Amino acid sequence: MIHTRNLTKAYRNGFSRTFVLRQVDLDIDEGEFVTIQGPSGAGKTTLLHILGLLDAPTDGSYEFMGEPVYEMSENRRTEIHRSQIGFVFQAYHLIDDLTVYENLETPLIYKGLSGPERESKVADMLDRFSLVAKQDLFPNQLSGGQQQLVGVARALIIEPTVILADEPTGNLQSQQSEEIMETMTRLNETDDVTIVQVTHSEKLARYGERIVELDDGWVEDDYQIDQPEAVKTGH
Amino acid sequence: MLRNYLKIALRTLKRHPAHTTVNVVGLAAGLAVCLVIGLYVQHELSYDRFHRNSDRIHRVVRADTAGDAFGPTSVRRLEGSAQSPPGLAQSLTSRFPEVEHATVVAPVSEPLLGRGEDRLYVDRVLRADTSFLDVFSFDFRRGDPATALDAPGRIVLTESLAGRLFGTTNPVGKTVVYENEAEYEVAGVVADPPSTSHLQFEALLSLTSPQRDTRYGSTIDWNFYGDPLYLELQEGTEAHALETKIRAFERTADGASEHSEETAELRLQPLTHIHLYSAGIRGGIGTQGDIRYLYFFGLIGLIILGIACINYVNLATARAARRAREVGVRKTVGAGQPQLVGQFLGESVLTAALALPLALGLAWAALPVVNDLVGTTLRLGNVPPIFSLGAAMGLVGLVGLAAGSYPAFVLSRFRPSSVLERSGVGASGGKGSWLRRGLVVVQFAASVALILATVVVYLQLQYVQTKNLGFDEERVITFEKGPLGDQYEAFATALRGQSATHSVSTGQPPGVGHLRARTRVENAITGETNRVSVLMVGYDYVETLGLQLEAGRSFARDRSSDAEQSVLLTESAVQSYGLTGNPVGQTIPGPYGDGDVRVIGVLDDFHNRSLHYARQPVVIGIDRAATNTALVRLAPGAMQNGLDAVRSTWAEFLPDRPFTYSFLDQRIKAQYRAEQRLATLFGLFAGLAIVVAGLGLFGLATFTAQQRTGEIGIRKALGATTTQIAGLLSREFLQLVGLAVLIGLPGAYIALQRWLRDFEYRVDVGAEALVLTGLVAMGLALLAVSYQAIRAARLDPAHTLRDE
Ligand SMILES: Nc1ncnc2c1ncn2[C@@H]1O[C@H](COP(=O)(O)OP(=O)(O)OP(=O)(O)O)[C@@H](O)[C@H]1O
Ligand SMILES: [Mg+2]
Repeated sequence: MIHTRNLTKAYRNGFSRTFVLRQVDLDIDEGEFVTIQGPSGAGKTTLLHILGLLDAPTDGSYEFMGEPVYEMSENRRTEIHRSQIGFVFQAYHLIDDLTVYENLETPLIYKGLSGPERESKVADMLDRFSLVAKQDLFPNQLSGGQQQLVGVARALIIEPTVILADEPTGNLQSQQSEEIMETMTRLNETDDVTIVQVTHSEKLARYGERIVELDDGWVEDDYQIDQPEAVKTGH
Repeated sequence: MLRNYLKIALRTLKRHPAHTTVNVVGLAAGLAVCLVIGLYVQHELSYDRFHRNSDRIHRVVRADTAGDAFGPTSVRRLEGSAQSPPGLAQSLTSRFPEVEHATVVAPVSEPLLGRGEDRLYVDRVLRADTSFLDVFSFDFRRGDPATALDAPGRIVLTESLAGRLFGTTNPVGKTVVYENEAEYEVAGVVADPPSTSHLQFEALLSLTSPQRDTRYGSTIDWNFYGDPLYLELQEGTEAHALETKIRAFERTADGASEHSEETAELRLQPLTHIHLYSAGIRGGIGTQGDIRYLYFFGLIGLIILGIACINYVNLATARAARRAREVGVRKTVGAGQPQLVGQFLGESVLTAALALPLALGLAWAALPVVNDLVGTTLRLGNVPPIFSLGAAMGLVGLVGLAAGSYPAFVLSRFRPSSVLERSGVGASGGKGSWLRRGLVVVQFAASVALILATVVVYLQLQYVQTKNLGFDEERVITFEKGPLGDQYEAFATALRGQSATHSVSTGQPPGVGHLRARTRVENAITGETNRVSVLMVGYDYVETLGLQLEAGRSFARDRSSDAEQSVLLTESAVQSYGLTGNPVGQTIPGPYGDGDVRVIGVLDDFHNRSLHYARQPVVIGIDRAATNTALVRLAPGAMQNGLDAVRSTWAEFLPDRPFTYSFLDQRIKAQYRAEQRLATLFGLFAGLAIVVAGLGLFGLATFTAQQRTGEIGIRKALGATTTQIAGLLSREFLQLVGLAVLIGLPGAYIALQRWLRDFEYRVDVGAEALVLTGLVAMGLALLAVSYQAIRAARLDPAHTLRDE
């Protein structure tokens, strides 16, 4: 599903170059649940943006579902965003001028769903994330945690095949965080949705089955978690 | 999808009321100006197109060809006379089968018409015969156009004049008294000519038999400047080819070779050109438009609309940083570039659409003022609703696209990650802000140019209106003495005896008009020939007009030789004749070639024509063929008494004829009416332009102040004063406006110098005007910027920091 070779990202800084990602080789198969970890500034967000086709690497190759991303047209990318990738931003990034309801509806509009279809899907999401009471509020009228919930709901609403989530629970209470992780796990297990999440929390990392550790742009470690079962029964 | 764009667009507009207001108001002002100008242009362009065969009708023009080295002048820039020689109509119709009809139309100046005991002066009356109604398709309501004017003593009334004379009764067959002497039979009623007809009339008079004989006779009197001649050509006739044939005929025709002291040639001017392309043509009927002013106003409309569009672009790019984040998010959730472009264009088109009703309201409110200024009867309903609706929608779409496309295409191209993280590189800084600065400069340069134009037009107007013309134009009334006939001398003597009048004379007054009889004189010393203007006047002309006698004396009634053999010269005429020593007492060839005359006095030069034209040397003689214009100078301090005296004396002689007159100073002023209108319109437009540009600056300042609240808070916490901060926020804008002033002034100055060349005598545009304009622009910019700057600077730092 996701294959990168030699993926490198560098920023020009005066005459020198700062490397944010260095020769990252990553293979993620369909249906995997991967957690990316690493200290602040390690390049996690950058990597996720590249995987989500929001940014282009400086060097190296990236294949998304067998297609070289480098050769993709703008239209093809748009198409993938519409139907394959659900992206959760670290900084939520809701559209300020739209209500919660409309923020959730927007991806469906671009996807070309009819009015009634959109309505039922949005209602479903609002219900699932307990946001019904907030549906007519604007983002700046929500708490940070609530905004994050909307961000997650927005990513899930198109029923993507890949969810890329950048610290999706950073601002949530632990109970809410766990609920979200469970939702994702369920999607992963029942619908075979591929999930790549970034998190600082050891505990939440355990929801996944594999951990990629990033440090200063290098992949430091990449391993399967031995007993995912143990985590699930751990609480 | 579309509904969603609309909803989003509406939402965005609602959430940013300040920006929306600036944009909507600005665009509305621009659109309103365009609507009004559009109506005006449409009106001007539609002149004379209502005639059935308007494309086949031409006016014959005697074009000046002198000094034209580039072949025949373009038909759009003809110069010459619309007065055709008598007899030409007949010659052309009999010689050229291409000419289907030819009609000679003569204006009659303000005749007195009456029915029973009622008398009234009618403004515009034309004399013509049946062919007039063949060529032109005026809308006949009663009577038969085929016969209405085919015999002497017939009159066709317009509906409004018929109403004034006969009320609601059918006037056909009734009698109208012309000038208290002749009876005319009403042979028809015609609808009032549309406002888009260059031929305006309230009545048509048929020709008398002698008039018929000269106008449609078979011999051409080339020396005579007759009346305008219109031709209707056969279907499919190439006007240009016919013109060539007519000119060939003109060269061989009897008496044509010496027909004028000027080299002139006959040209055909299309009917639909007459209104707009006759600036250089004398002796036509009706008032004229000027195509140059159409271009001019069109340009101004576009400038103002452009300034409003720039506001939109500037505010949009200023907000780009924020919008860019939205673009990134939308792309992430599946928006393609077309959707984003659609969304942003939707916003701009919607803004323009919101501006439209306001624009219509503004235009509706402004039209009466504009009509009053320009002398038109424009109404929003003048154009068919489908057309105007279509035009308005088109305009809205166009403006929406113009204003929205830059933001739309730039914003939609952002790469998500670059705008989502770290406040977006390339969005607020970099290219966008340079463009914004450039556009502000463009806006203000254009505004400054318009302001300077207003100032200069106004100064020139002041100058021509207050310039010393070399004579005293005040307290002089002019009127036609024709109706008095033989009684004139008795009338004049009666007036002279009264204390309320200062002096009485006859002759063309100086300072008005441009066509003057001229004669060629040979300079006695150098041998070159010069042109000298000839003025034939009555006794007391010099005194009545306050001309300054420099040497010798003026005409005296009791010297019999003065009537035939004496002239006055102006100083420059003395030079034209090449007289040396004391000119008084010398003899020169008489202006009409019939014997020598003696110079009895020398006058200071005076402006014998309007200030559009150069002052000429003048030779003045005592009138032989009686001029029709009487001049009376009223005694100082007794204007009303003087007027009453003239009026009651007139009534003694002509009890059944109202006395009409005009003041010379007002006639002189009236010649600058076009400039007067231009000045007022310029003032309006320039004001509007600077207000719209200022509005944009206000919007930008508001935005900058918002954006920099954090910085302002920190600076204040570090000890900056309110003034320092307000200065910081205003400085950049003022620098831009300063640059605009430096760019706009020289450009406008050059253009205005060209406009001033239209005037033979022009005001010196000094540094004051430039400095004043610059200061006005800077002042307005300061006003627009400082409000926000000061407001932001006075906020309490804790408050602004917490807000961030
Ligand atoms: N546009 C840019 N220009 C220069 N450097 C950048 C740019 N974007 C990111 N960086 C640098 O790349 C590095 C990695 O950033 P990134 O956001 O990927 O880190 P992260 O691992 O997500 O950190 P965190 O856990 O704090 O979110 C940082 O050092 C950052 O300064
Ligand atoms: Mg990060």
